Amino acid sequence: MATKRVNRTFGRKKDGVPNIMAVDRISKLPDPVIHHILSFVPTLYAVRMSILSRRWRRVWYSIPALHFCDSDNMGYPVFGGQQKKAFYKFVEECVKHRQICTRYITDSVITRFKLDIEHYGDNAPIDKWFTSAVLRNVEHLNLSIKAEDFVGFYRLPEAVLNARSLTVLKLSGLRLGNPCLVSLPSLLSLSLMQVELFDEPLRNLMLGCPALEKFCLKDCFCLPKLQISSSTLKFLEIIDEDLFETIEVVAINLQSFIYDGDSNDINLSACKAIRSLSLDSPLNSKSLEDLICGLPLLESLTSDLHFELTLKHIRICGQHLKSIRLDIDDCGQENPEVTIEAPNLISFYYRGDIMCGISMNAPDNLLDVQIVIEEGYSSGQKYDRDWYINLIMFLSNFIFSWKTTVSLHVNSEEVCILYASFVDLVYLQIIIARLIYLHIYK
Amino acid sequence: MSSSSTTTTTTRLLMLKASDGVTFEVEEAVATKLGAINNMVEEEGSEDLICLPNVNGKFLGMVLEWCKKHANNNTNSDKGNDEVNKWWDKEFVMDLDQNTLYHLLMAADYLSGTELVDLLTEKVASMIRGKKVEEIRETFKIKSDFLPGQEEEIRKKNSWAFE
Repeated sequence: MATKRVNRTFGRKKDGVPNIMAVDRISKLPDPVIHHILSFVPTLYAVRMSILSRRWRRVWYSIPALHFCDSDNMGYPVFGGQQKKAFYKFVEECVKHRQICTRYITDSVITRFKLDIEHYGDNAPIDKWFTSAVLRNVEHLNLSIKAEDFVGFYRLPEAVLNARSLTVLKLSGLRLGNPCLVSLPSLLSLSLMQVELFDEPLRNLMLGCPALEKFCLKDCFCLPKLQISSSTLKFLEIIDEDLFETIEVVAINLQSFIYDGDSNDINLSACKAIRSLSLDSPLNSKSLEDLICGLPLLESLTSDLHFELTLKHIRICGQHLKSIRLDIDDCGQENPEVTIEAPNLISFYYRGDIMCGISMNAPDNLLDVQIVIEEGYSSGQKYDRDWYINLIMFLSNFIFSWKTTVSLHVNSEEVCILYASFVDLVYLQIIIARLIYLHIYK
Repeated sequence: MSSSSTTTTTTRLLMLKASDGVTFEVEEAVATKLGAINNMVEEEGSEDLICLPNVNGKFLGMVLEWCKKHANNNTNSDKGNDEVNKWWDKEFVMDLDQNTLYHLLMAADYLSGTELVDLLTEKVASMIRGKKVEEIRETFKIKSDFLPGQEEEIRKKNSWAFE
């Protein structure tokens, strides 16, 4: 304690050993590291930092990533007063200066270009900046327009849709309407968010991206029937709000498919290579069962389950399944049944009611089982003797080996109080034959 | 732990020696998260002591701690692991003082620990974002070495950035 205090006063002295906190460390970092840091900072700050010291004077000329955003991290406009004019002028000058400096600075490549703006309806300058970025062989292009009305949708210039060096393209809040020729031979990842998109342009886009591996589609408009076909695609993520009626994916190399939306007609019959499937959809148990059966290589399944009056049973089977995560929001009045046949299962997660009967002949390599017991909101669950009997019934359907670790999550402290008072719990432990981690959460 | 069965086939230990002579014994799968060490192992094998004259033991220890966490968490393909890693990363950089941050960043850069460099540079970036120039100067203790009037001149010349 005493020595610490001495050090602190010593450090404050103007002479002698400098205070370790008062040393300028950042200026001593090597250039590439500084460029890396400033790649994560909106370009405005990097430019303003040029007046810090001579070390920082020209640093921003070599930052490989340009990021223009017209509001700061709190959502306030970055330029006061003539906001729009000042912001456009700023981007204009930055692009111009970076263009000029290529003549005397060797490492002035621009690999990433990001524009994050409110839509002003003035498209010509944006076209110009993008075209200039494309001409400088930009690899990542990210455009996000916060469109308040969809009347004045921005359209991408043709140069961007024919950028040979582009590997990652992220677009948000614009229109891919006019059927122009698309050629993006290096594009690996495409992300569209709130993009207006019709059948024809989407087909053009897919045809023009012969190397595409990752495709994310989030809240896009105007496509009741979505059809995606690509022979290179490996990851596909679709998140929509009740827009697509049917979804058909034809992608023989697809490995991972994530869907979160309201469609109950999903066709993946041409995607036999899928290893990971994650669904948050209203698919009924029969459709889900068929979908899973059609995927022979499936290793990881995450899904919520929906049961209808006539369909109270689902069978999930797969030779390669290693991980299963199931969610049941509402069991309904009848008690549904889930049968799992997965001889290579390693981890199993279940969240839902104990009234759902899950039967599984757990394989030896099943290491990790997590069960989160959630009662229906309306039921006002009482943790009485009946509840314990149901719990025991629920757990007795599983046949675990000695290696399996089971953790049980329950959402009330009541369980804990009663835990000690029921002799049956001894029986419960025998069934599981292994450690129970009991978690109480609220 | 549960990972023992998956690692028994690949567990090979590497000996790393820091600039101040401190040695670390780490699993190969952990140390090869660092590009530089991966290259050394590939070229020269893993039998000899690997000397790292540019990294002090304290910071090498921290870098390896990070690698260990990420190597372990990547073995089982649970969905929640990304979250766990993110949370752990956040904790890792939360209370770093600038001196430690500097040395860690230098070490991670030298050892080509790409993900760790990303994490640390992002941490520094978060200390810059949203700040006025004077606040940045204060945060990082950067002293101006411009001649009198020079700063004002640059400010004027680039007025489009300072409005």
